[in-house]
Amino acid sequence: MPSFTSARALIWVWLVLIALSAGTLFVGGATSEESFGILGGAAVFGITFFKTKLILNYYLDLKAAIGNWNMFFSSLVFLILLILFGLYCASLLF
Amino acid sequence: MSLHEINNTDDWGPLSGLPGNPIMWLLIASELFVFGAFFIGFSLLHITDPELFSQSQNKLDRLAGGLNTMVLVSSGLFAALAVHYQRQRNTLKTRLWLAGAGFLGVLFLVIKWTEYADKFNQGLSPDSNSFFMWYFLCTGFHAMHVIFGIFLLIVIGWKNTDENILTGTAFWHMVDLIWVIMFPVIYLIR
Repeated sequence: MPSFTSARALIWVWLVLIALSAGTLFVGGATSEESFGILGGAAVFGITFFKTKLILNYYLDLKAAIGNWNMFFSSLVFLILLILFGLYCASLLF
Repeated sequence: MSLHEINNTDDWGPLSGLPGNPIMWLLIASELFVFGAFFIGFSLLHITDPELFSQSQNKLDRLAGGLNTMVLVSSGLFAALAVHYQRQRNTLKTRLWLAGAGFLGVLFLVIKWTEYADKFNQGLSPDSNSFFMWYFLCTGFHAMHVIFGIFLLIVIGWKNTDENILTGTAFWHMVDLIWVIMFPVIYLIR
């Protein structure tokens, strides 16, 4: 059975989440008003998915869950983000 | 300590494999569907009225939104550390970390209220246009979850059984998770 996350691992996860949050703000441009295009959008949604995976796996400890629950919740979040990215791409095309 | 040892002994079938009370996980899944639908509605506005979307979004304070992301992510760490110390049977540290998580939740609300006050001072409200209707709907509904989450953190700090701690902090992480998705969708994507 997978073990629970240690305090040290939790702090590392937090540091990565803070760095990724700052990265999202940087890629998204805190003060810019320009569109950042499909690649920028993909980067923002990609970083967001990675952050949600860290929260699911370590904060919520789903990596210790028995069965396919980690896969279920990760897939659900991935599907939502994929639809949102698709709508974002559509907004750039139309 | 294994998951089964800290979970309740009720047989929930496959749901027994989840940490905490399975009802909370049903709530988390349903909240993801509800907020996901909100975000899809919000994103459709980007397609149907891109000019309005762009002009309105540029009036949002992205730095405040980014700061709030870091505040909630940090409160998530505090809640996770509370669970960690609960497993070590250290009640004092568990309560202290829960209090810290709740304090950061209050800080999140203060920053959010500052944002709202700034919008109201600019004459912007849910009635201004469809962008701000969605903005206030999504962020306001989420803020209500934060308020309920703080209340829940207080309750589980008081009635600190293993199951209560796991279940209450799972709700708090769900609030964190939804904000992590909401922030780029509302504030950044353009």
